[in-house]
Amino acid sequence: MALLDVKNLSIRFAGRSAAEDVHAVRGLSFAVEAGQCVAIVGESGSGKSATARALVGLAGPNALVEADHLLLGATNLLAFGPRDWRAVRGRQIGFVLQDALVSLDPLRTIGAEVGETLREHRLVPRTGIKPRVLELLASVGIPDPAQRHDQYAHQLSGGLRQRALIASAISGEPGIIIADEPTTALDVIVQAQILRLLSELKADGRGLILISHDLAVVSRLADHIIVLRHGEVVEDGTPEAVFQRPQADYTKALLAAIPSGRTRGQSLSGDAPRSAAASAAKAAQPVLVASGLNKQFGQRHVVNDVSFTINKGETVGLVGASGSGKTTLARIVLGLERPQSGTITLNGAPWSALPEHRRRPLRPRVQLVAQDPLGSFDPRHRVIDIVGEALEIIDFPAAGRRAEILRLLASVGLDAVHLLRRPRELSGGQRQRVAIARALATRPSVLICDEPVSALDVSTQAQVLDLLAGLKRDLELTMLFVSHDLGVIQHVSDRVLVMNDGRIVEEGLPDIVLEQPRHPYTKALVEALPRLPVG
Amino acid sequence: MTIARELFVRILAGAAVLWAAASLAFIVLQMLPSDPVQVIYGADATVTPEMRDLIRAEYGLDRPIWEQYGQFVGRILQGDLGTSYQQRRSVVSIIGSELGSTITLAVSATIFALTLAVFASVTTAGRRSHVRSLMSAIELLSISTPAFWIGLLLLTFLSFQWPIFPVMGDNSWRSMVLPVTTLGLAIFGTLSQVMRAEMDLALEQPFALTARTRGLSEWSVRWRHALRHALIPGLTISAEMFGSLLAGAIITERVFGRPGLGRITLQAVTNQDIPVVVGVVLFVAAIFVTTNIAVDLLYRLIDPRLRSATA
Repeated sequence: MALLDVKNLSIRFAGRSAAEDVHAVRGLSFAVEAGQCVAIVGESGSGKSATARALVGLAGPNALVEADHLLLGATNLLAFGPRDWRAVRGRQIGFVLQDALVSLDPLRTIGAEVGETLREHRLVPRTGIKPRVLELLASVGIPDPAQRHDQYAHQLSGGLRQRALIASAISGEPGIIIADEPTTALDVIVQAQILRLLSELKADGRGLILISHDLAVVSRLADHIIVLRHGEVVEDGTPEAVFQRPQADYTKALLAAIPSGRTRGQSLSGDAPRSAAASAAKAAQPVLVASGLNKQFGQRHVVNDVSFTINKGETVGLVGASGSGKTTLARIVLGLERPQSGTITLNGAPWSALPEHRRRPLRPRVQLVAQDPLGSFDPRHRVIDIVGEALEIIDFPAAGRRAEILRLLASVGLDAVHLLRRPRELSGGQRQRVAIARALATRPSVLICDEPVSALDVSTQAQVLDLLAGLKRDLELTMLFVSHDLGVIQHVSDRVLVMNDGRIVEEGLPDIVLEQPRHPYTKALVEALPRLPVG
Repeated sequence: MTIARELFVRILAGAAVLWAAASLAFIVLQMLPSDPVQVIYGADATVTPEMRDLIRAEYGLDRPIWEQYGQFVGRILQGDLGTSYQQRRSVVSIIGSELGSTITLAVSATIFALTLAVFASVTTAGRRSHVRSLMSAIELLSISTPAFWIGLLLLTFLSFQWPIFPVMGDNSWRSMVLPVTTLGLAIFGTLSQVMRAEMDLALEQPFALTARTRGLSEWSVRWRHALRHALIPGLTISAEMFGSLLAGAIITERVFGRPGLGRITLQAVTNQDIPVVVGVVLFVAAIFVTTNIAVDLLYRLIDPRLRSATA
């Protein structure tokens, strides 16, 4: 018998009237066997998280959960009341959330959090809780359990917090684990470790339900993949079938949208066919030259003797794990942080060495596209104000401003309809387009893109990357592209810098650096990267 | 920075606040149009120039102004707040004799309000129900109704209509019930609103979902997880309100005929008994400074993130 058997599940969020009801999920069926992993993949709004929550009875007070049957072993979950659900949660179904600083209560110790299931369900006597928690912490690979037991979530790294969340989920020895985006927000090396830990749980005979937006992540673990879109199943099969012979156009588009070395020079979103990028071997003309940059915060050498050059029309990819110093380096290039030694020149003239009052008039030449435009836009400004502000700074004649704004918006695929929208009224992809239009308004010599697609869904990411590629070709954009995602870096870069512990450990053409890495850190990065089993 | 060092800095800053309060009081005192000698003798008395000189010498009013300031600060440092013009007693002993009653009232009212607010926010946060709407209405009423009106209503019903509690006096716990309720209700509204808003936020956080997936009951999620988050703003507000209750309970003390700081402040202001007014100002400033330091220390107990932020 299957551990969990779901037949024709539908989740509806009741609105004020039947017309306003939101169908989060429709017609979803699957079964989880012991030692097997079912992966539910989809983009935001696909209903994957609603499904995960419905399976533990936490879809929310407005949710209507219906199914032909919903069986946990032989028990009918549809007939459950709150008390029945509480007995199941933690005991028979464990739940692992995405690591966020606050997925564990920030005010309680790791020990108190991980031991909570044991205490609530009275699984071990009071005095036995601490020893059991220490065992659990050790079993998920947390070094120094005794020390970690008394620490708080903010004192742990992202990877350790995720392990602690897993320890908490398995503490009641449930037969089924639901993991909702368990590796999102972790860098590749830590992600690979967490996936290994999850595969050990699977090997122990637990049933695993893995929820993710990332097909590559689930490809290692899944025995069965379901692709959801707008709450409906569009693809359903073994990994082999899904990856080799995808049936739905949506799955094909999703697979094609994943950036990698193979996709360089090609369109990811499929809607803008492009000629193979002519990486014209013109005489290299240096725009930005950094030499011997150093930055220390206290004892920590965050940027350590970093030198590099960006030539005109070139995209340099900067890749590294969180904490590698890449954000600080980007801030130094932007002139927001002063290096303790070393210099940056821009078009042959001093940049980092300038006093602020002399750099400020030049700032329009170096522009930033940040990860989260929602945070970097004034929520009360409309698109016309956001882009107009950049034009004001370069003293663009007021008479032609509106026409220029429209031209800039057109260049990023937006139009007059969006002029009066505020940031919250735009989708994530549209916001990022506005951020790019704003950055381009001052006709910068260099564009710094700091994780510009990390917060976007795969298909939106594909559109934004295609947009940047098109702009690069048409405007001869010079870019420093910072990302933790090797696939993205390999797709966009003409040259790659690999950063670790404040140093550039490897530099060169993306194919050479990422296909035949020489430095051990680059090797570890590349090995950890989840790859699609496609030919 | 270690806790000891942080504490030291806070105490220094507190001392600076007190010094500033004392200096400001001194300056205002100098700018007052009234004549201290006249106040001491009473407005109607005729004072001969000889008597005037005698009095001025006795209170040090004949010295140059900077010397008066030096003496003023020096006396405060020795814990001497001067002598009342009216009662011819030391200000310290006047405040001391009234303090007990006021502190008992303020502490009880704060505890009462905090208990009520914890109960109200735990039961109604994160829910859309009639109970919540009702509680919101009560809070709004408590915020917008003046304390004396609540006091009069309580007296009318619980003392005159049904004589359950005494009308006035300060002799038993029964006499405390109405004033404590009056003051407590006045601060409960704000406290409860702020704590519920914080708890609403906490219940939306991923850790609350994590706790629920462990099989915790709604009640446990609220008590064990969300409440602690709500206590952080709750404490800030309670501390501030506790400070203002010490000096601001005048009306309630009058309505219920209780002795207390409020009564002597009122008397001192009406009679222009400057040393007492200055004494009360300094005393209340000192209380504010100490409660603020205490609350900062409590934050660290509640929120571990603050402990390492300064480590």
